[in-house]
Amino acid sequence: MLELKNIDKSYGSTAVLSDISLKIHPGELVSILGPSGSGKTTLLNMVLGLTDPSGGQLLFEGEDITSLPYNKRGFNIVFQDYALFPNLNARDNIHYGLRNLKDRSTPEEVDALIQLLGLCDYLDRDIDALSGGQKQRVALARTLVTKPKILLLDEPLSALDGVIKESIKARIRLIARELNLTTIMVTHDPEEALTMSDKVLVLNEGLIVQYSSPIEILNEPKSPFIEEFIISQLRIKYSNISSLFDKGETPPISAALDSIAETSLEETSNYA
Amino acid sequence: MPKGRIEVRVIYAAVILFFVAFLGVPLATLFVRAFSDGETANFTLLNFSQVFSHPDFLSSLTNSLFLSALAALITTSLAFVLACAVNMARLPQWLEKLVPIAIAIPALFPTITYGFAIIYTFGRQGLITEVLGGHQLFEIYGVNGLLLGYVIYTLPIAYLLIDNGFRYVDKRFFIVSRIMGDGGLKAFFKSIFIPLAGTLGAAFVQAFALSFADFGIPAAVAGNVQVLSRTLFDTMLGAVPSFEMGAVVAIAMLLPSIMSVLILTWLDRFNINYKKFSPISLSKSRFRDVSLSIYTITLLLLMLSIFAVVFIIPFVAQWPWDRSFSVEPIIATLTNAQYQIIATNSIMFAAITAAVGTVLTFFAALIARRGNMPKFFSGSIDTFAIATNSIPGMVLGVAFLLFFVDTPLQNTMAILVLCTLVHLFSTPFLMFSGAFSRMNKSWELTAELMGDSWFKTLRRIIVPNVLPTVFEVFGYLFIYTMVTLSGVIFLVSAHTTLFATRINQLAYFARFEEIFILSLIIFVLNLSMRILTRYGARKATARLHGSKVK
Repeated sequence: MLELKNIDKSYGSTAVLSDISLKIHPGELVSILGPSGSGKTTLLNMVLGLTDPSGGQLLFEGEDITSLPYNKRGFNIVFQDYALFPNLNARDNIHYGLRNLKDRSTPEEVDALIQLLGLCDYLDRDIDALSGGQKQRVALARTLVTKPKILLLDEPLSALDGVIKESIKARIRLIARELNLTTIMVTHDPEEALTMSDKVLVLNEGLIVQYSSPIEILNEPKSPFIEEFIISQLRIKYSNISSLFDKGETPPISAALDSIAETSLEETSNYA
Repeated sequence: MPKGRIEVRVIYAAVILFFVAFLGVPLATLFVRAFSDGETANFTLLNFSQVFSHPDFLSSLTNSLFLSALAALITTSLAFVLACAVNMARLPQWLEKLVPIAIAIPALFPTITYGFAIIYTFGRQGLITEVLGGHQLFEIYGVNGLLLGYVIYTLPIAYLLIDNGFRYVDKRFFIVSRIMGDGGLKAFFKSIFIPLAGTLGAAFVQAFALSFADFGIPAAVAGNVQVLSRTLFDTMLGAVPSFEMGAVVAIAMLLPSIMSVLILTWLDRFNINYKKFSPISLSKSRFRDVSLSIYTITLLLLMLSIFAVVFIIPFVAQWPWDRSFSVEPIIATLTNAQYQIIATNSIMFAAITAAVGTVLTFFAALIARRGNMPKFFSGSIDTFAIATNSIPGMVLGVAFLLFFVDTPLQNTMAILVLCTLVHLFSTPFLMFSGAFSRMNKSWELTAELMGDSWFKTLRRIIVPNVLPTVFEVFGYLFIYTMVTLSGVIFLVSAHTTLFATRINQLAYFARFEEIFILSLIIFVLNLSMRILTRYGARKATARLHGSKVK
C-alpha cells in the first residue's frame, strides 16, 4: 500500500500542494484529476521521487520512502510523450530494461506481455514507423517488463484520439487487472478518469477536493468545484453526443460512462 | 559547482578549467603585457599612447574598419539578392541545386589562397587578363584586391545566414499584402525585407567581423595598404618585434570583434520567427526569373572562376612561360621529404583537433543542455562559447604566444591544437546544443529507471541519436583547422609547419606554383573529408529513421 501523509510542497512562498493525505491499495488504479496548475504532475513526480516534498511523509508497504532516491523506489513511469528511443526498434525498446535487470521478467513473461498488448506484429518496426497508439503500447510494455511496484502514467491518452484512445484505455484497465498492478495516472480529462479508475483524486489549487470512486464523485460531489469542473463538462459533451443522434433526450451521464467503460478490448484493438 | 550527479559536475569542472587555462589566463596575460613596461614590468599606459599616436597604426585601423564595412555592405547586398533569387524566383532546377554546392567551395581553401588566386586571375599575367587580350581590369594590389577577397570570403556565410532567415519568413504575408492592394515593391519591402532586417544586420556584422580579423587575404594582396591584422603580424614578428606593442594592437583588434558579437546578440531580438512558414506560390514573371537566373549564374561563375587557377597552375609546366601540361610540379611536391612532413603535420593537426574538439564540444553542450544544472552553470558555458566567437584567431594566437612562451607547450603540436580548439569552439558547440535540445527530455530518466548508469545511457541512446551531428562537427572542425592561418601563425615552429603557414612563407619567395599545389592538396583533403562526413551523417540519419542511404 502507498500512503501519503500530510504532504506539502511549496516553491518559495507559493504553495503547490497542501496537506495531501491518501492511501492507495495494492492493485488499485487511481487517477489524479484536476485543471492545469492544480498540482497533479507535482504529486506524480513526488511519488516517483523526482520532487522532494516540503513536508509530510510517503510510505510504501509501511516503509518511509520520503527520502529514497527515485532509482531505488522500484516505481516506473510512462511519460506523456513516451520517451521511446528512436535508434532502437520496438523489440529492443521493450527489452531495454532487461539488459540491466535481467531477472525481472522471463522470456515467457515478456512474450505474454507483448501478446497482451497486441504488439506481436510490430516488434521489428522502427519507432518512427509506429502509430501513436502503437508507440503508447511499446512504452507500456517497456515499463512493464521491469515489473515496477507502482506504474505511473503521465497523461497517457492526451496524444491519442478516437478509437485508438478507447483501445489504450481498455488495455491499461486490462493490464492493471491482470497484473494486479497499482497504477497512478495523471489526467485533466474527467471522462478518462471516471471511466478507467477504481478511485479518482480530484485536485484544485493544490488541495484535495475529493478522493473516492467515480460513482461517488458523480452521485455525491463534495464540492461545487466537482459540479463546475467535472459534471458540467460531461453534461455538455453528452448533450452534444445525444443531439447528434437526435434522440431528443440527454442520457444520464453515469449510464454513458458505464457504456464507455464496458467497451470491450476486442471492439477497439484493431485500430490502435 | 553545480549540485547533482557526479559525472555532470566532473565534466563541468573540466570544461571550465579548459576555458580558464586556455582562454581566460592567456587573455589576461595579453592585457597585462599591454599595460606593462617591457623592461621593468611596471604598469604603464605608454604602450597605448605610443601605438595610438602612431600615424601608421591609425591609418591601419581606419583602413581595416572602412574596408571591412564596405566589403560587408557589398557582401550583404550580393547575398541578399542571391537569397531572393533562390527563394523568390523560379530558377532552373539544376541552378537551384548548384547554389548550395558552389557557395560551399571557397570555405575549402585557406583565405591566403584567395589572395593569390586573385593575383593569378586578375593580375598582369592573370587568366582573365589574358582572356581579355592582356587588358587588366583593375589594380589588384590594395583596396580592390582586399575588397574582392573579403567579399568572396564572406559571401557564403552571409548567404547561408540570409537563406536560413528566408526559410523562417512566412511568405504568405507577401500574398496578403498584394491582395490588400500593395504594389509589388511595397509588398516585398513590408513582408520580406522588414522581417529579414535582423538577419541582414547579422549578415553585415558577421561579414564585417570576419573581414576585420582575417590575415590571409591581406597577406597576399594588401600591397601598400596596411590593415590591422598585417600590422599585428609585423609588430610581433617583423624586423623589430615588440610583444608589448603587439599586445596593444591585439587589444585594438579585439574590441571591434567584441562589439560585433554584442551587436549580433542584440540583433537576434529583431528576428521575426513565424510559427508557421510556408513556401510561396510564385506568380509568373519571366523577366524576374530570367534576370535573377542570369544574376545567380554570373555571381557563381565570378566567384568560382577565381579559384580556377588553383586547378590549372599545378598542371602547367611553368606558368606563364611554358604552358604545356605537366604533372611534374605535383609529383615533385608530393615526393619532397619536407612537404611530406608538412602534410603529416597538417593532417595530424586537423585530425587531432577535430577528434578532441568533437569530444570537448559534445560534452560541453551535453551538460549545458541536458545536465539539469542550474541556469547559472549552463549559462556560464554558453558565455564562454560566445566569448570564443568574439576573439579573432590572431588575438588568441598572440595571447597564447605570450602566455606559453618558455613553457613545455611552446613550439609543440599541442599548443596549435589547444589554440584552435578555443578559436573554433563556438560553432560546433552550437551544433551540438541544437541537436541535444531537440532530443526527448526524458530519455536519461527513463533509462535510469530501467537500471542504466549515466554513461550507459550515453553510449546506448544519446550517442547513436546524435551521431549525424558528430559527423558534421568532425567534418567542420577538420576543414576549418586545415584552412586556419590566423590562429596558428604566431605559434608554429620549424617542426610544426602546416600547409597554410607554409603558403604564407612561400609568398615571400614568390613560389606561387607551390602555393597553388599546396592549396589544391588542402582542397582535395577537405573535399574528401566533407564527402566522407556527409556520407557518415546521412548514413547515421538513415539508420535512425530505418531507411537506406540514397
